[in-house]
Amino acid sequence: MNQLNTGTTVRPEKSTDTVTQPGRGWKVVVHNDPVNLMSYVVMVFQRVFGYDKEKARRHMLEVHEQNRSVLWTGEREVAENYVHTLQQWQLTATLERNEED
Amino acid sequence: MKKIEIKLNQDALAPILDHIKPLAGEIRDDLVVEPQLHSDMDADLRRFWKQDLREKLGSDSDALMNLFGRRFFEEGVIEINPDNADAVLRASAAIRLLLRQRSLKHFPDESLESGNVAHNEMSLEEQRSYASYLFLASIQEVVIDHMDIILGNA
Repeated sequence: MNQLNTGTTVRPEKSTDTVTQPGRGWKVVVHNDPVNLMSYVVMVFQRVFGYDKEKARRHMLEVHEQNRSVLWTGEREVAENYVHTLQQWQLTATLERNEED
Repeated sequence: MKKIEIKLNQDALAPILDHIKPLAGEIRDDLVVEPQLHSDMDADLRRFWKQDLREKLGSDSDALMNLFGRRFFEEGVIEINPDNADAVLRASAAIRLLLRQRSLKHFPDESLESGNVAHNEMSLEEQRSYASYLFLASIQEVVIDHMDIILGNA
């Protein structure tokens, strides 16, 4: 993820808390890419998931530092819609089965 | 309608627009990133999924290039409003990804991020690609910084 000239190193202050629909088995995962701006990714997470800026930023940093972040878990159909929307925003997003179920 | 106007230097931007225009045409026809779809997704859904992404990217590309119409050539002004803001952001992201995949693939991420790239070691094609890459990022940053105003939330 691209920081574009700020020269600042940033790290997640705490682990992200993913919104989970109980008993449902699909994850929406966003993967790191070297192009999209950090501010862009934060804005997309806010717009798509309705997260506040701080939570969206924590997920963005998790993607940046750990190469992936689980943004949402729940029903497959809803998860597919989220993945499709994130791909429209040119983010690398995948649908994965939640092995914890 | 809420909007922001950005004043640009037409002369300075002309070679960048010449560089971006064919790329915008390319993303009208095909995706920049092949979507990773789940292995058990059926063929019809895969086809529909990709077709929808293509159509969306095509309309996003049109929205970006429509910024550079008559008003831009007469006054150097582009207008971002609630109707085109998201599309401009998405199309800019797509073209930046395409530039990175093609002309800028030999440069390390860190160099591109920091701007610490030796321009004299770049070919003309790479210089124009990098200028386009930075220009589109700047547009994205301005739009994101003013999104509350554009969407009427401020």
